[in-house]
Amino acid sequence: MEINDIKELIELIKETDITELRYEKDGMRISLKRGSSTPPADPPAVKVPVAEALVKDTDENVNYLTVKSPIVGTFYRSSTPGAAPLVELGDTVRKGQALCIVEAMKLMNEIESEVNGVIVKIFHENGTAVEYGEPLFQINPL
Amino acid sequence: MNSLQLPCGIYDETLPEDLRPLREFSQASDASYSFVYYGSINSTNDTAKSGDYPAETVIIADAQVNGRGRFTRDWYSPPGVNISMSIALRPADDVPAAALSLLNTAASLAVSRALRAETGLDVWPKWPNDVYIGTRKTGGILSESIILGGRVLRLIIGIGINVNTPGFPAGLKDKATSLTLETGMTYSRGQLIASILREFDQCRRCAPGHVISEWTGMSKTIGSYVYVAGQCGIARALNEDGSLVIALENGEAVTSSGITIAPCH
Repeated sequence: MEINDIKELIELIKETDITELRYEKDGMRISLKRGSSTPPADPPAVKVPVAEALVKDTDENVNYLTVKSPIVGTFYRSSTPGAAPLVELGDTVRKGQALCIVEAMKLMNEIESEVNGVIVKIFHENGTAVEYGEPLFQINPL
Repeated sequence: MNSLQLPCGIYDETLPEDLRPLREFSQASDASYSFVYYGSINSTNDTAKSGDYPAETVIIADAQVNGRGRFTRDWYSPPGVNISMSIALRPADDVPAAALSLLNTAASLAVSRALRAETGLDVWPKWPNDVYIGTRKTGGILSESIILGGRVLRLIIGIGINVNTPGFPAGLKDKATSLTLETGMTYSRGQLIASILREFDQCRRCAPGHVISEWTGMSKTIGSYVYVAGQCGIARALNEDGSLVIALENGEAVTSSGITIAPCH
């Protein structure tokens, strides 16, 4: 994204009631907020709820389990650049096996499988920005 | 690969002399850490991750064969002169993954505090995971966690510090420094590690607002011009989740968390 693209985005926001916009592409993330640029001097201690990282789907994939991102960050399929992905579609994984890395503020979070099962869906490409609670994998438990 | 475990302050001739202050530190009544020392290993973080170490274990290596920066950027560290350590923690069950960034911030604050106290140098934490003296990097934090079912099982805080490195290769000279290059003195790594751990114990138990406030006061990242996705701005504050608040020159505010920043003026 070039500087003119960002300016255009800002202009577009000004013409609307939107107060916050997040744009993600190819691992780059831009977050625009309207209003004061000064944050609270002493942020209060906020307890973020623990993500329910593994939940049963309720619709057509009733038996599948979805691994969700416990944090906002960048999704990486391998532990180091250039290395093979930790898991591939169709792989059988064990409980405790590393599935991916979600990097948040240069902190590498290794997400492990909570069950033995087969990977039936991988929701994101390597390097994608993910939100809190966003699905990462679908696993068919064995 | 032989390791030397020091949970009870066991003395061993193989432990380098300047790391021996850790023996006394591990015996101190208020010390909660155990130590495992390696002469040479791939990386202390990898060892901490692969071994089933109890909480509060500190892995120390005299030399790292495969020491790495963020996402395997090279880290120049000759054997016997620098600090290569990883603190293995097991956070409480109710610690959310989103709170880990604050522990990372607390670690960079602790390292800055300790190095300031031990050397008198103006050491400062650079967002998000470096430690600087002036305009040169003297250390870095590389933290990793293991999360299962939304629970943080383990947190490993890797710390690398250029302590007694006498010089750097041509390509790094303008970017890196060491404590000894700054003062001309030789430092005891054991004493520095003990100081870092004492400070970390304090910092990680502080209220989030206090950690952020002290980090903000110490870091030259805050108030500096930065270049974010094609625009110039000024870093204004650190959020509790570790992201930076940046005021763009056009008056807009941007929260930066997943992009690289670089000076623009």
